[in-house]
Amino acid sequence: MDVDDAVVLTLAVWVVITSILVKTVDVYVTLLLIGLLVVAEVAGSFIKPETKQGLKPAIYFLLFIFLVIVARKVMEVLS
Amino acid sequence: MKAKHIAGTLLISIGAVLTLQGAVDANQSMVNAGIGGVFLGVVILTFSTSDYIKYDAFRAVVQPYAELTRSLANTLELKNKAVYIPPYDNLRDGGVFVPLHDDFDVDLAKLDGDMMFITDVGREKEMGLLLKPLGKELMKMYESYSEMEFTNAGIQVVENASAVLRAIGLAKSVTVEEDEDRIRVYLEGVGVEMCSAACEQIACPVCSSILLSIAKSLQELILVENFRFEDGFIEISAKKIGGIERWM
Repeated sequence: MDVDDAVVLTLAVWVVITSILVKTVDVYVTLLLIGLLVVAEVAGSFIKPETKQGLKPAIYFLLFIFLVIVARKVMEVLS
Repeated sequence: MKAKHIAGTLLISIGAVLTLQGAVDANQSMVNAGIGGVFLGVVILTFSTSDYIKYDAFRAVVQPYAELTRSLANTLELKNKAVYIPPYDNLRDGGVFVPLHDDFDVDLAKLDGDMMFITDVGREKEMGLLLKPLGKELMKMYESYSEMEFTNAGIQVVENASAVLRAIGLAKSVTVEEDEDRIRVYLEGVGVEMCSAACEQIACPVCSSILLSIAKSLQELILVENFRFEDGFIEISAKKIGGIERWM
């Protein structure tokens, strides 16, 4: 099993655990983002450079959703 | 189509269907499972973007070319060590100049990418062999990984090559030291077993890419002085010999 397989397996386990334990979409998506960020940081030195570049759009997309969730929560508190 | 492509596409499709179905049925668990499926599918597709060949295949393909270029230098009885030229207007990818004599001169204004044997020059000390650097594609990978051009970026950016070389299994680390006009490069855990004394004239793609990166990051010509190698460890000594303007 090479590093790529280990990364995909780790994320798959993370997805299964979080989808079992978490019931709300906003917390779930935030946890997916955290998982992806941790994996990209820890395994970043061992995965192919273009793969690391390829993960960035997914990270940016999840970060955008996270910002939307934060903005919604702030609006809820303010209203 | 590779298995990873099929698995990734299948996961995205199933995930999208589950998400939609979950949203229609107001089933939160199904929506989460669907999002998870799409997420994993995207990750799998990302990890199937490129493949690297096995090391033995790489060596079998590259070594004959390296030997060919080295035999060229031997046949021409070139005695001096290589000079790495950073990319400039005439040589967009930079170059490696192996002069005919120790007391050499090079007129960068006369060089261009189509030249190889520099013989049609007024003085004998300008004669030599001009090659495209074997490491130019690796250097592009370093720049792509660093998300920056190395031009005038300073010598320390070259250490970013460590991450790329480690990821593709060619070397474990690259350390660069600069002391006035002297440069030392330490490569550890080098997987390419094709280094020899001839590297001082025509280096392997890994060492060539590092030396070319240094030349580009400093915008100076680099003269190789010495290569020392033992059990996957390579120490390169080089010297800065002035910028492009000086040699025009």
